Amino acid sequence: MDVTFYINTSDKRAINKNLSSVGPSSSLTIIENLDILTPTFILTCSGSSIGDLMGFANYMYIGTLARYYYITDKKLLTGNRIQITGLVDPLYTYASQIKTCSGTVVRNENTPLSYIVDNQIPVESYLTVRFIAEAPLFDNKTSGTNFILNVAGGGSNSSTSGGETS
Amino acid sequence: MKIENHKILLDDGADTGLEVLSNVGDFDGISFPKGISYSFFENKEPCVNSFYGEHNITGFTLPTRYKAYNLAKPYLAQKVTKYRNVLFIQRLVPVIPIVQYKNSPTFSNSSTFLFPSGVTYTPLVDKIITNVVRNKILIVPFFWSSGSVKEKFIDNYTSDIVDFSFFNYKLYYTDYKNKKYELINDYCNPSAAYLNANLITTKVANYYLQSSIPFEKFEEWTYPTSDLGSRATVVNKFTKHPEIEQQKPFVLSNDDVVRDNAGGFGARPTFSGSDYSDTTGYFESLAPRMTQTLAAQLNEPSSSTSICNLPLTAKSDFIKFINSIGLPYLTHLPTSWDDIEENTQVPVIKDNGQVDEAATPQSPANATHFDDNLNKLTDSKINTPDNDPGATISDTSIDPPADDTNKLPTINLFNRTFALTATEVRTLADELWNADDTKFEEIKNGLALMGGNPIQGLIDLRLYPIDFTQWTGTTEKIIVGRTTLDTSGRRIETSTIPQFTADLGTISGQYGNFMDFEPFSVFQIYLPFVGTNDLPANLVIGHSISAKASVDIITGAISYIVKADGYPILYKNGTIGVSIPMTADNATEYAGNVIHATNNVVQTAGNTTKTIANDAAKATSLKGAITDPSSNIAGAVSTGVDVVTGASAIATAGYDLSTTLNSTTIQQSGTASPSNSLYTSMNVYILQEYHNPVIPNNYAHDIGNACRTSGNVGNFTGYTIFSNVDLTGVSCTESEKTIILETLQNGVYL
Repeated sequence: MDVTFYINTSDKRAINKNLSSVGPSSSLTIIENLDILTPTFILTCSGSSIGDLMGFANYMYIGTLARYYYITDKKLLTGNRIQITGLVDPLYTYASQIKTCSGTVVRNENTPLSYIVDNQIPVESYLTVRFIAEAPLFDNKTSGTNFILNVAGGGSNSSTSGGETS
Repeated sequence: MKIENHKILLDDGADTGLEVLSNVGDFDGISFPKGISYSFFENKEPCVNSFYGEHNITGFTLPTRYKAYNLAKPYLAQKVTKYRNVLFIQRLVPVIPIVQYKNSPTFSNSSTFLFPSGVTYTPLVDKIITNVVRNKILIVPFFWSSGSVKEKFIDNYTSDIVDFSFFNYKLYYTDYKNKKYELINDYCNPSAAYLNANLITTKVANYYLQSSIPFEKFEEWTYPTSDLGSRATVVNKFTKHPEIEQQKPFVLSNDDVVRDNAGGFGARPTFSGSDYSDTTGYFESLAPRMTQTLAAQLNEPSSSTSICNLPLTAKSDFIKFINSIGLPYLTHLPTSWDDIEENTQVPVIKDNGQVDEAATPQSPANATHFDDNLNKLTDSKINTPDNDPGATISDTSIDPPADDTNKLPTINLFNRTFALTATEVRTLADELWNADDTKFEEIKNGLALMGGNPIQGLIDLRLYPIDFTQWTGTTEKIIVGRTTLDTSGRRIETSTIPQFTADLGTISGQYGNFMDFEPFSVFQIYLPFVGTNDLPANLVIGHSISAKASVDIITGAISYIVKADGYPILYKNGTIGVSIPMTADNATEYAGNVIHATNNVVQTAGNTTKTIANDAAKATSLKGAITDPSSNIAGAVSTGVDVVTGASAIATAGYDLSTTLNSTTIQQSGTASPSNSLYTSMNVYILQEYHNPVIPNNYAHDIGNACRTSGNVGNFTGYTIFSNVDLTGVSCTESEKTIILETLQNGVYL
């Protein structure tokens, strides 16, 4: 049962992992039972690769189980042996299948802010005011015929001129 | 910029990416020492990790390959500034290395360039590359005639080719805003890069074409380096991008190739015969073929195309290749900007960034993709969704109501109406109060119908912030009752009331997103002599707003109709005419109204929330109105002043004062006036009160923007939270399915 070790620099939530190989592939020894989700096993390896595995490896692929695992614990044992405990990463293991599944998205990084209300955006408590548009209507500095006088009597000779201005 | 701890920091001292953009040019000409893994950072945010990964490189410089981006930069910066989209600014930063990455390095026989592994760039960056940079780049294919160093362009390349060498293309930067273009670089010149080559086969040709594609990603493709011999220094592997599905450019067929540098092999019209059997294009057949190079006779091409039409086949396939890149292209060197605008062929890009081969190319006339796509990206997709931001005003099947054309006369029916200047008003007062007995008796007798009181003949005098000249007719002496006075005035001849329109244009929100709507934003419209009124955001944003005011010069009333796209959305009434008190009776009545009003205010003063400053100003204005010189026409007005002065302290209690006054205003002479409004703005304006969002720099990456859409998981990129995912088809244990579902619901990076 071969195990391939990696250095994983990706976030645990990333469906695509950025992996770089570290150390040689090795055969593992099962300690009693091998849990498919959280396997623990012992590895016997050469002296030169112990440093890589103990110091850097944080991710692994167990071929027989066909799964990728986070390395959650490593113990250096006597006789160039390392006890390794893993935690299954189904997100990466089944990435290609997951990507074909349909779902409904409620938040997405690359969707621009839209007219869907996002209540997680904090806002300042005070109001900022901006003038958007302005258009003149009257002129209070006019010094022309600004007074209207209505007097009794008369009423004839009205005309039809006048109307709208702007 | 400084090199520190093997990392290049793009630190301009600011938190925004805009300043970083301005420093993009700092990369030009910078040499990067070999043997170092580089990471690019903007401030502390990693943009690209392990740009050159673990590969050993011999060093490189970044000269002109940034040029395209640099040229596009001002345009992007302008848009960024305009729309203040912080997220967009920051996401631009990774363009720097990506452009470099996607824009192939300069080849030489002595250099080894390995495309980076583990390059992480966001899909948004990819979109920018696809939609912005692509639209800024014009590709011009041409042929290089190695013999005479003569360029033969594709449209001229028919059967008269003498020395078919190989395809090449030039890149131009096109600035559609300023109508400029500039040659960026020549690309893909295998003749130069393979000076020592013995043979260029189909695969070599494809390699060269595709490896030099600007702004395009490559599909993984391992090249048989063992066959390259001394030329094994060339790229041996393209690394597939880990996140984004890539489009493989069109691959040339064997019919389209090939030549050797010795001139022995080649797609020449003179070729015929036996040795066109190298249909695989691999170098395995190199040796036996080279032994008969000069004597080579090619068979008919494997396609149905005759050998004489081989160049045309090549031309056709090369066009397919150009289309597959997704860049606008010309088939000849541009001669002018008009030439570019008229003759550029435009590949059609689907929403997923892939080339729509079925629809490609579009003619320039129909090329909505060409520059519109850029506009769509910068104007709409980044900042403003495509959908109409505002609400539909009304059923579009119903036209906006037309203005009432009623011209029923309200003026000059029973009385006479004159428009006067301030001087004429004073002259009138002097004439009335200083008239000799004869004139006085004449007026009195003429007003017998009204009881003989001369002042009863003066019905109303109002001051307006309007010059009524355009509504007046002839100047004639004022007639009171049946008596003609010496004072002249201009008769109002209009039979309709004066109307005024303020067009405020189409209103845009501050943010172009939900922040522009309640409860985050409130829109108000200020109407002179009425005040501010709330407007629903969905009837404002994206709509053309206008305000139409109608003035009743007899009563001093003003009525507003505010319209959105021609549909009325708000009606408001007020008083614009400042009534001038003319008699003691009028003034007393005026004061009585004020006292009545202020008493009402006192009763509600405890509930008011308006500022003292506002109220004091209003009270001052009120007093000012009464003591205004223009109202001195009434000699007895001082009585009213005293009353109002005494009440003014009470009047300061509330903003409701003016409202109360208006509500009790008697539309006759001597009533309370809106003269205080004369001290406020005479313009109509719209204001937006909004809460500023405090969006952290990494908000979209860490939290994600709200959305509501569905699709396959693989169709989304970046940080994504699913409400639910149907995991049918995932062949894992139930425990693992639970883990997967919970992870997707808690947020994943895709």
